[in-house]
Amino acid sequence: MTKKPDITRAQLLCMAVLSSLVFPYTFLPILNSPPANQDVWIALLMSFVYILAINAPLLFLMNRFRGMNINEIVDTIVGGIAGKIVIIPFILFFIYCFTACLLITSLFINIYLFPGTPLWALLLFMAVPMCYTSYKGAGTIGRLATFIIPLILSTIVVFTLISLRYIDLNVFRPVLAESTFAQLNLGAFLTAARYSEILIFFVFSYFLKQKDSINKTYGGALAVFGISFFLILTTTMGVLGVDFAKLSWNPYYVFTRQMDLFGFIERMQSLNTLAWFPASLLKLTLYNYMASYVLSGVFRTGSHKYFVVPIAVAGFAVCLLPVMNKSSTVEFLRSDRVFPYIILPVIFIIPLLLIIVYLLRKSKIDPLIDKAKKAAERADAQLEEAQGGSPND
Amino acid sequence: MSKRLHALLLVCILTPVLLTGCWNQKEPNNLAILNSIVYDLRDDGQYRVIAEILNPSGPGGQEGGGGKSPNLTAISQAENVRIALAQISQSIESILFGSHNKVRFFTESFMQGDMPAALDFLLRDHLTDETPLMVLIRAQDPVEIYSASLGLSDTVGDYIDKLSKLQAKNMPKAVFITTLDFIKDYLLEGKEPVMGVVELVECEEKSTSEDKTGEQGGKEHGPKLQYEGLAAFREGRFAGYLDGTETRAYNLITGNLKSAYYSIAAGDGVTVLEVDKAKAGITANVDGDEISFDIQLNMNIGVIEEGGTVDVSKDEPLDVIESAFNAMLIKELGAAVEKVQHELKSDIFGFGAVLRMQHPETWKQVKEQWNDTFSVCPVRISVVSDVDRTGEIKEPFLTEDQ
Repeated sequence: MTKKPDITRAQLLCMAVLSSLVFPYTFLPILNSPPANQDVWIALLMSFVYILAINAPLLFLMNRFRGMNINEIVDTIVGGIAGKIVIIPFILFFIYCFTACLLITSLFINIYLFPGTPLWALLLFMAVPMCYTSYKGAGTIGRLATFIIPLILSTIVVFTLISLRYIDLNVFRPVLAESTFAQLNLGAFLTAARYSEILIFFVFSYFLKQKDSINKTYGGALAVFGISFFLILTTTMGVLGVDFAKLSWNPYYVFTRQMDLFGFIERMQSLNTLAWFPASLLKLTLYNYMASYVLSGVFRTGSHKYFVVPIAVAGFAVCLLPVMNKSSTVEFLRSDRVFPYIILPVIFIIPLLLIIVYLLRKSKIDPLIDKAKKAAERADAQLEEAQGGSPND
Repeated sequence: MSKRLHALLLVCILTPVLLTGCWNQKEPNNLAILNSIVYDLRDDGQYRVIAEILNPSGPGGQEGGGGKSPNLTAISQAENVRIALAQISQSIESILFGSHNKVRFFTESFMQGDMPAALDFLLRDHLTDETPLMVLIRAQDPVEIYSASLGLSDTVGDYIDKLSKLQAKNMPKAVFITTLDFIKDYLLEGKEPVMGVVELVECEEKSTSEDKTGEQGGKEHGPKLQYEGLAAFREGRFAGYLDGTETRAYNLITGNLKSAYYSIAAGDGVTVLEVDKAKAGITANVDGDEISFDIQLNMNIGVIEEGGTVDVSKDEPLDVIESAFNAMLIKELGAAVEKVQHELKSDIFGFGAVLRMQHPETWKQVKEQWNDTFSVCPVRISVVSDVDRTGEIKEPFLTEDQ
C-alpha cells in the first residue's frame, strides 16, 4: 500500500458531489425513468429514502471498520483467498464505471461539441490529465475536487437564476395525476440505485482522520447532490418541457443553450462545457484511482501507480472497439435496464453479505478492528505532531 | 513555484477557453454564415432550400463594401431537406455554417408536407439549435422576400430578429415563436403550435431612405415585409391563418400581450387606450359530459389620447369608456375563439392543456379526439379592466366650451 495520504472532510465531500453530479449534468437519466412525466421530481425526492437504505450496509462497514482500507475490511471479514474473490466485483465495477463514463463523455463531445474530431484524439486528450492526477493519488484528487466543485455548483446556481424568467410552472402540472405510487417508487429506486458514490466513501474514508465523521460528510454530500440535482432537473423541465427534455441526449446542455443575459450575453452553454469537462475528467480519475488502489491491495504492490496506465489503456481500447463505439451501445449501457442492476450488487448485496459474515464472526473480528483503530489514531497523532497541527488546516 | 504563480498559470490556461469563438478547426474565413433560411416544397414534390448568407465583403463587413450586397442567396432543391442543404455547397465555395441562423422560414406547401422529418433534422444537427424564430411566408415565390425593403437592416434574418427583440412590445398583432416554443407546443398534449407570419406587401408610401447599396431610392417602390398574424397548426400540419386583430386576441388569451393600443368611440370623439398590463386565466369546467371554459381577463388600461370632449379627469366618464372597451374586447376575443374553434379546429389557445391540468381524469377520456371535442365546447369570456388617464394634462385638450 502507498503511504496513507490525509484528505479533509471537505475534500471527500467534494469528490462525492462532483462524481454524482456528472451524470445528471450529462444526460439526466431520471427523465426517462418511471413515471417519465412531470412527476419525476417527486421520484427524485423519494429516491433519497432509497439511497439511504441502499447505502446503509456500506456506511455501517465504513464506520465499524474505521482505520482499515477496503482491502483490509474485506480480508478481515472473509479471510485471505475469499477476501480476494469478494474484492473482484468491486474492481470490475470500478473499471466498468471508468469505461462507461469514458464512452459517455466521448460520445457527448462527439455529438455536441466536436463531431469532426476522431475518437482516439479525444481519448488521448482526456488520458493525459486523468492519468497524471490518478498517478498523484488521493490527496491531489481531493484538492482538485475542491477546486472544480465550486465551478460546477456556481454554474448550476447561475443557470437557475437566469432561467427563472423562462420557466413555465405549468410544465409540472397536473401533479401526481398521471403517475402511480408504484411508478414513483420504481423511478425512485432506479435513481437511487445509480448513486454509486458511496463507494468513493468506502475507498477514500480511509484517508480521513479518525476524528472526522464519515456520516456527517456523507450527509453533507448527499444534501449538496440532492439540491443540485433538483435544480438541474426542475429548471431543465421548466424551460424545455418534459417531452422535449426526454428526447434530448443531453437535456441540461440544451437547456443552457437557451439562456442569455441582458440580451447580449449569449451562447452560455460554453459555461456548462467549461464546468462539465473537468468534472468528467475528475470522475474518470476517481474510478481509475479506485480500481488501481484496490488492485494494488490485492497484489500487494505497495503503490497504485503501477495500475493507473494499464487500466486507462484497457478502458481506451474498449472504447475504440467498433461495437462499443456506437450510440446504441452507450444508450444500452446507461439505461435503466443495465446501469442500476450492475451497481446494486456492488453497493448493496455484497456489503450486506459482508455484514452477515461479520456478525457471525464478530468475536474474532472485533479485536482486529480495535487494533486497527488504535494504530490509525496513533498515526494521526504522529502526523499532527510532525506538522505542528492539523495537516489540513 | 509559488502559489501565486500557479494561480496565474491557471488563469492564463483557462482564459482562452472563455475567449474562444469557434467550435472547430474550420477557419471563419471559409464559412458561409447563414442568416436566414427558407424551406419550401414544390409542386413536383422536390424540397427547395433558399439560404441567405452573410457577405463579409458587403457594407459593414471587414472588406469595406464597395457596392456589394450585404447578403447573397443560394438555392438548391432535392428529394428531402437535408440533401437539398448539402447541395447548396455546389453553388457556394464556402462551408455552410448554420449556428448563427436567426430565422427559419417555411412555406405553406412545406407545412402540408413532412414537417416532423424537418424538425427531426433541426434537432439532430449540432449546429442547428432551437433559438431561431419560425416564420411562415405568404408569398407566391418565397425567394421574393430577399428583394424586399428592410428598413434599417441589411439582411432579412436580422430584420425579423430585431423586430422580435426590439419591437415585440409594439407588435401585439404578431407572434414571435422560436423553434423551442414550436417544438414544446408540438409535443405538448392539449395545445397546438403556432408560427409567425410574414408576407410581401407593396409599399404605399414613397420612402426617402437609402437602399443598402447606398443609392437613393433603390428599392423605394419595391415590396416590403409585413410581419403580422399567425399560422395555426393542427396535428403537425398547417391549419389556417389568424389576421392581426385575431392574433392580438390570441396574445391576450395566452398571456403574451406586452402592450397594445385600442381606439374606441366614446362620446363625441375617439379615445385611444393603451393596455399596460393584461393577465389572462382560463378555467376548465366539467359538468357531466359537458366541458366548458371560462376566460378571465384583468387589464390595466390608460387613456393616452382623447380626441373628443370626454372629461377623462373624472371617474364617471372613465367608467363609460371602461364599459365600452370591455364590450368591444369581449366581441373581439369571441370572434377569434369562434374562428379557432369552428374554422381552424385547432386548439392553439391550449384549452386542452388547461383541462389536463385541472381535470386530468376527464382529459384522459377526451384526449384522443380533442380537436373535435374542443370545437364544440362553450367558451365564456369576461373582462375586468381598470381605466385611468395618463400623461401630463388632466382634462381633455378640447373642452365643451371650445
